[in-house]
Parts: sequence; structure tokens; C-alpha cells
Amino acid sequence: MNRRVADEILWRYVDILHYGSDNAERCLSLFPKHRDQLEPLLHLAKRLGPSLAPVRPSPAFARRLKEELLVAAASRSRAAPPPASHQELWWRAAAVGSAVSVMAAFAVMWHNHNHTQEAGVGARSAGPRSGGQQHAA
Amino acid sequence: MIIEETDDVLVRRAKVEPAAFGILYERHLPAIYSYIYRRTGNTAEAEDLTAKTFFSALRHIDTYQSRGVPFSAWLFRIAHNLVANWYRDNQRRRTVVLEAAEPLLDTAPEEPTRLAEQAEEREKLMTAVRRLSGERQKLLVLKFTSDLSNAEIGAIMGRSEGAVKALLHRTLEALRRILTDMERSQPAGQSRPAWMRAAFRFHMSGEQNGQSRQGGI
Repeated sequence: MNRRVADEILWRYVDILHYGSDNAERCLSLFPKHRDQLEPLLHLAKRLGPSLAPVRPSPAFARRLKEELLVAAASRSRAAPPPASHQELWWRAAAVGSAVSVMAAFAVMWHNHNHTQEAGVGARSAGPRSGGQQHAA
Repeated sequence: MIIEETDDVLVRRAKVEPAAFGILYERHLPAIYSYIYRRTGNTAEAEDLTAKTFFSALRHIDTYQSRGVPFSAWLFRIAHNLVANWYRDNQRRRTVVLEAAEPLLDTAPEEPTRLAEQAEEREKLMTAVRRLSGERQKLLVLKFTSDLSNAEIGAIMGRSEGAVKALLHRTLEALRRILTDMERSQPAGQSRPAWMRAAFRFHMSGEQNGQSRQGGI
């Protein structure tokens, strides 16, 4: 038998046991040639179920531990602000980066604007002189 | 309609809101406690290690990042490490034997012989389970005790789903061999340990004195 098929049958059989039903005979009837290999393992899984059944903690313990945890969580949140997660850090870095980019863009625009104005003033003040020189010439 | 918040949402909230951690605790307590109890077999140790698991989770919740690994898997890893340390530090496997018999005293009244047989069967199986490697015990307890999905079990075990299924198959085969060896090596007439015979006598004396076992002893 393909070992992977047997892996799958056993896994699913335990899932079915978990929901309180038992279909070992059906599993075995689907794979009659492999009954000898599968049957003892299915039987063992069925025997294991009650021994490994979930166990619930006592309500008193559950309640007491919750109270202790909530007290610890409250004092922890008072003691220190929560550190930012990686995702939050990325968002913050992206926001700062964007702000710096926008400010840099404004600075360049402002610089260009001033430079253009200075050049314009220079050109206006230099214009008539050169013209005069030409006239004089 | 009430929509339950996912673990990831609750974890984010729990970093600042104690109440959110309380919800996570209530959601995962039964599975974590059950896992630890089945690994240690002892109520006091299970309570102690369960408390340590959740306090550790609370201390390190800021460092938890999902990245495809469920919160439950993270909690189980903490619990597993604590259980592994407990085994290593104390070598107390034998104490498991005693409390494995607890259901004998808690179950509804049935024929004493049948109860004793059930307890004996349980004890034999648990002895065999404890002879498996820690990894195989862990898989059996996760698979039989919890409601975790295949993906979650895979994440906790650090294996693919296919590898976990193959491990279950090998584990059942190994367990069958152990049980066969135990049955061969067990002398006839000594199948029932002394504690069970004592529990049986205690049960019978209760019956004779007209005590009811309905509410447990």
C-alpha cells in the first residue's frame, strides 16, 4: 500500500474519532487488501482516544489565574507604553520620509523661485545699461 | 450577530488593553491546560505550568508577530518548552502514573470491575505512550486532545502537514510495538498495580457503607 495513503487514512480516522464517531469498518472495507496492516493501528487509535481525551481545568483555578493575569497585564500597560510593532515602525518611517520629501521639494521650489527672481532683477537692472552702452556705441 | 475577533486582532489589542489578553486567555486555556496535563499527568504541575505559559506569553506578547504562525502555535511552543524543561529538571515521569487513574474515581457509578479494567487499560496505554520520544508524545497529545487544525499542528511541530501525518503513522506503529513488548514481558497475574487494587478496595468499601459516588469522592 502507498504509505501516504495509509498516513492519510489514519489521520482522518483520528479526526472522525475526535467527533465521537467510529468508521473503522468502513475504512477497512474500502481497503480490504490492507486490512491486516491498518486494522491494528485503527484499533489502537480507538483505544487511545479515551486515555488522551481533553481535560478541563478547575473553574477555581481558571478564575484565579485570569485575575492574576489581568492584574499583571494592567500593571504592565501602566508601566510602559507598548513598543510599536514592525508594521507600525514601517508606517512611521514612511510618513517621516514622505514629509521630508515634500519639505525638500518645497525647498527646491523656493530656491528656484528666489533664484529666478534674482536673475530677473539682475537682468532688468543690467538691461538698460547694456542698452545705453550700445546706444553710446 | 457577534463577530469574534481573530487572535491577531486580540494580540494587537492585548499589547495595550489587559482585557484583550483576558479574552485570549479564556480562548486558549482549555487546550493549553489539557496539553500540559496530558504531558505531565499531574493536576498541580499542570496548573503551575499553565500559569507559567500564560505569564510568559504576557511578558513576550510585544515580540509576537504572526507571520503565518497562529497565536495558538506560539502558546503551544511556550507550553512545550516548559514541559520539556520540567521533564529535564525533575525526571518525574513516574508521577504521571498515579493521576492517570483519576477518572476511576470521577466517572459515574458503573460496575467496579469494569471501572478497574478501564483504568488498567488507560494506565497500560499511558505507560506505553510515555516510552515514546517527546516529539511523538507531543503529536499524540495535540492530535487527540486539541481541536487544532492540521496547519496549526504542523506549525507547532515545525513540520509540513504531510510530515506530521507520516509521523502519526510511525508513532502508532511504535506504540503498537511497545504494547506488544509490554504484554510479552508482563508476568501473568500481576497486571493490576497495587494502587489500583487499593482504589478498587476503597471503592468497594464505599459501596458497602452505602456511600454514593455520584458527586465524586
